[in-house]
Amino acid sequence: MNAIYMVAIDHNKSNWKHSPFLEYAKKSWEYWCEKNGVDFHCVTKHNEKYGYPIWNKLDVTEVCKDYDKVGIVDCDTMIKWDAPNIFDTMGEGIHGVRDTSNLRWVYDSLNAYGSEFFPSFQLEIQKYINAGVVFLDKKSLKVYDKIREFYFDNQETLDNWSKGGGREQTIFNYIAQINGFNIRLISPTWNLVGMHKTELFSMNWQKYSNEVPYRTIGEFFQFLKDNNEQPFYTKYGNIYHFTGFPIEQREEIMRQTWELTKKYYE
Amino acid sequence: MSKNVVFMHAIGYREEYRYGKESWAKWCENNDVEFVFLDEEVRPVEDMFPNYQRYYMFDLLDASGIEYDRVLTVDADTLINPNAPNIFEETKSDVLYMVHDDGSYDWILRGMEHYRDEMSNEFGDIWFDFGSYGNSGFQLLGKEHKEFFKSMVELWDNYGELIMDISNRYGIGKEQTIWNFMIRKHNIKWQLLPYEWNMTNMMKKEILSDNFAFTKVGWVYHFNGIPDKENGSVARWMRETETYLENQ
Repeated sequence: MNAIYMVAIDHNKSNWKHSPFLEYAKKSWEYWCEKNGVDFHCVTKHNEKYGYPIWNKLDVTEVCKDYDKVGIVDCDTMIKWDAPNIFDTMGEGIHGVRDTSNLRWVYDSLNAYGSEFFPSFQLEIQKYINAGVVFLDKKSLKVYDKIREFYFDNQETLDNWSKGGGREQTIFNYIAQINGFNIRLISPTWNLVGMHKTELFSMNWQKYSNEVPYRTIGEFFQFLKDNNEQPFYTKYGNIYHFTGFPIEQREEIMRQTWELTKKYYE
Repeated sequence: MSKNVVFMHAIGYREEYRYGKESWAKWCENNDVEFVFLDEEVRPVEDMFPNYQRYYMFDLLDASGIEYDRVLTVDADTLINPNAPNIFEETKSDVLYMVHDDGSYDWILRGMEHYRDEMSNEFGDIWFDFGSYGNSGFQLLGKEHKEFFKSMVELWDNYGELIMDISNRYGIGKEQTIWNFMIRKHNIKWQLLPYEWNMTNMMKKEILSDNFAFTKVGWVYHFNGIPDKENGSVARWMRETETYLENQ
């Protein structure tokens, strides 16, 4: 049996609540899980032993200890209604998508965490993956035990971290590589990060016009609706990750995406 | 004695090509690789799009009497880090190696849809994961790919006018997307190399900055997708990067 594990906690340490957009993420994942015989776990209650809600991810080894394979996904992701069952084709290892959407951020984050905690380890940047969507077999799930151990050994520093570079992603990558876990890169379609930068908020508008017929994201979704079209990311992607653009737009874009595609989830 | 070859085509002079040429020539010298630079038209550019003329590469090498094992063809707006490892030693001859391009999926997917629809006689129902779409500005090949390049030229001979027309109507390029389709059509064994071997669209990835951090994370710097190219922005970046690398 396999499972999807998602953390979506509203917490006073976050400026933005997850619950408004969680609705859409959850609906898509619940549908896909049911269709594919996969259990879905969504954690909405914060475990006080952690300083920030993101670290609740580490409880996956307890919640999902009896599963063969587990997917750990952020609550700002949606999965396509007919995305294939990735658990059927994946083997041993940690499966994830290379994150190059902001290489400067990655480079700085590696330097910040590297110099503080891992000064003698040269991380292989070619295997640096986005931690917001990862699929693991039972053996590889142990990477989260290692991260938990690291977190509690360094909790004060990590909970008060102010050097930038995110919270858990870079540590995840360091711990995975230092401990020799097998990192297997999968197609970017399994975690479409930075969709605004890669221009996935688009469609083949040239079927209708010689000029782009929309100027704003609102007009874009209206155009899709009026013409019964899909944006490129839902047409050809498997998992859409609504990150990298202003967070205040996230709920609206996820809502619009759900409105466009909900008929396929029924 | 045969050698590995880096083949750079730079038809139509631009200042930046000079830096690309110097950089690759130096790397080739350090790695016992032959460097071949093409800056003359094989066919008039009105007749065949300049980038497409790279598919005469094997013919040109043969005609020049250059003996080769493997060939890497690169765009002239690239630089290679002088410390880059010898990629020929890390790869196999019968595989075509390329690097994924995610610079604009809008451009890529519109191109894929238009070429599929308008060249269905040629491509049938071929479709592929856009996550495996390659950038043609860095192609690592073996002798085995001679026939494939010949088929690219034949395609132009048969459909050149149509390709120009489709490209002009939709602004979707004349070569790269077609090359991607042809790889699948001809069942060419291919493999993606990491981004570090063809760092396209560095500005979008926020790594192109004055402290040259990009030279720390990868080997081949592709100066595309940079605004103001006509006013010398690409040439400036390439010149300054080359100077920086020389002083390291």
